[in-house]
Amino acid sequence: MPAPAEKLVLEPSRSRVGIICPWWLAFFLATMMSVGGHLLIKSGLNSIDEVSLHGTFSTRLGVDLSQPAVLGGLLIYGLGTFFWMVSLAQQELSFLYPLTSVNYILIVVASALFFHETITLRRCGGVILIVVGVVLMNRVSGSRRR
Amino acid sequence: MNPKQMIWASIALTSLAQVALKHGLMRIQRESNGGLRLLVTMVKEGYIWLWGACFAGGTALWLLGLRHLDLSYAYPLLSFGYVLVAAMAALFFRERIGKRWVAIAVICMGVYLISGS
Repeated sequence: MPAPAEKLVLEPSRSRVGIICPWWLAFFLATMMSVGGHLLIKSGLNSIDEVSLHGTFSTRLGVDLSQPAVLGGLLIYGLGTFFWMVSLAQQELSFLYPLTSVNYILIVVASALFFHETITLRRCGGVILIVVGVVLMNRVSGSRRR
Repeated sequence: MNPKQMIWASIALTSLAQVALKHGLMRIQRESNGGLRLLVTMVKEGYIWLWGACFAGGTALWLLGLRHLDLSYAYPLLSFGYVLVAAMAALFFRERIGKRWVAIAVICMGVYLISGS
């Protein structure tokens, strides 16, 4: 399969990263790992029994971190950050950044599906506004420093 | 601190972490000839440590707060971090916000809706 990323590489000196993983695959992995990591963290936190909800800051944090799902989620989230960097090394931030707003939609849909959270109309409207805002952030001209 | 305050504190800390990282990296940029030398310079840079501390504290507060809140409530609030980072970048690095204030205003409205949901 030819790599369509080659045409889009803006800085030839950094194009070597594309050999490891093309930007679109890295971006896809970063998105999946960021969303998946958060879902795993939340599922781990949800499984903590009510008794361990009390105690000091550090003991509660210890309980949180002792959940395998929380640790695993953090790890996957961290790995997602690595793939985000791989993607970022090949594409401009102003192109990639608005695409990350899809995370908000995925998280809200997945929260409703897996954790049966109630998504009110107000919450839905808030997420839509946030997505629009994040997309706008790099569409309207700010300062172009380079 | 109640869970909602923890989430807001976490967002503030991780935003501060971004600004500290940017400032730290700008300071060591002059000496960056890559490899081990760069790594040593990074370890010696105080702002990099500030980034680490803020990042760790922000993550801890995030976990503690998220336990009691909906993920579909807390996660979208993270977008307020962009607003804070933009404000701090304008304040500390004199970066121009320009017309991006429109985007910032839209994000703020979204965050306002979520925070009351």
